[in-house]
Amino acid sequence: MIVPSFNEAATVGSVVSDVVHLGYDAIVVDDASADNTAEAAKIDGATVIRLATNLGIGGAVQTGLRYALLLDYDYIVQVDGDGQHDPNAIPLLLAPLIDGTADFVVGSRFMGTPQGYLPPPLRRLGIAWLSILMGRRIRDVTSGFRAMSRQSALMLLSDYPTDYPEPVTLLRALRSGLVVKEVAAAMKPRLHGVSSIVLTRYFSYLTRASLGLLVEYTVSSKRSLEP
Amino acid sequence: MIYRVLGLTSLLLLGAVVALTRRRLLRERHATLWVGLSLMILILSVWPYLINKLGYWLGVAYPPTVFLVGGVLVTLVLTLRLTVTVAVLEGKLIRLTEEQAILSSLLAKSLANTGTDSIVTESGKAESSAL
Repeated sequence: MIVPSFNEAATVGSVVSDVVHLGYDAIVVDDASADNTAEAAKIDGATVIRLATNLGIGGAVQTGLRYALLLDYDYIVQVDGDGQHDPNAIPLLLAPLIDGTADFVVGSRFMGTPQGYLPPPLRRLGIAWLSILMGRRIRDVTSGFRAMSRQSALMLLSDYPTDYPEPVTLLRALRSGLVVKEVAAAMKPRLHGVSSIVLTRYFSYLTRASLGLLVEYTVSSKRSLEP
Repeated sequence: MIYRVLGLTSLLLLGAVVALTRRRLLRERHATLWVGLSLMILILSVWPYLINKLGYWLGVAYPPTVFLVGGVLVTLVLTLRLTVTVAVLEGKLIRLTEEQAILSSLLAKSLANTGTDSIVTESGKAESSAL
């Protein structure tokens, strides 16, 4: 269980203790937070990896993946440290991996009967646009709630994008022939702090993420497995 | 007059490149590029008719434009190269930061397991190490 966190001292503790109570190992990657995120995450059963300099979400997740592969975990789940993902949904994400029907599972806000928190309309439009760019195979393309097998992690780690990792890694997984599945996972509105995607940066995010996806299309889908 | 200023500038550039290389602030492989560029400017300022000739060959009505356009293009290429270099360095830095973070986490864990994470201070009180 990888929990990338940046300045999330208020929430990361409860996320980690939920994860540990469910019986999973928690790996918290503290992306050089200015607050005491690392201390808040120090709970029995949790490993805290503190980055010396801020690398952004891509670097934080990549660090967690490296660590998980080093320690030979078979399944890896990524959960945001801000508390918007409900750790109780983890088994739902893991199920398709364990029964072998998927290599990569995305927790989607838009599937099933929408009960939980939904992003504002403008952002939903942006997510829909990115989804179209990816051939509409997955709807919630920016979801940071995802589970993957060891093999998928190895493939993604060969060249993990640092800037807009969620949509780009998803496209890479799809193009490299991994079986990607989307399962319903309601999300809570964030308890504290602000999303790293604020409205003023919305269009900048969208254009760059679109560009990232287009670039990804030009890259060969055959990649070497390099840990 | 302008050619004298140009010649002087190229000499200063050449001197700066030599000084920077000697202080290891410039790598040899980059230094050769700068030496080449400053020598080119020097040659053009000593024999300005070369610019006229070049302009004539290229069919440019006002030959000094060749110099200006050439300069802008060289600057563009150099800037692009620098941006690429920055991206390469950033990639290396990210990799190093990740490896360092993982190693220090593993080290802290193994020290905790062997019980050597506490050191005895002068007062005899156990104190946790900085890890």
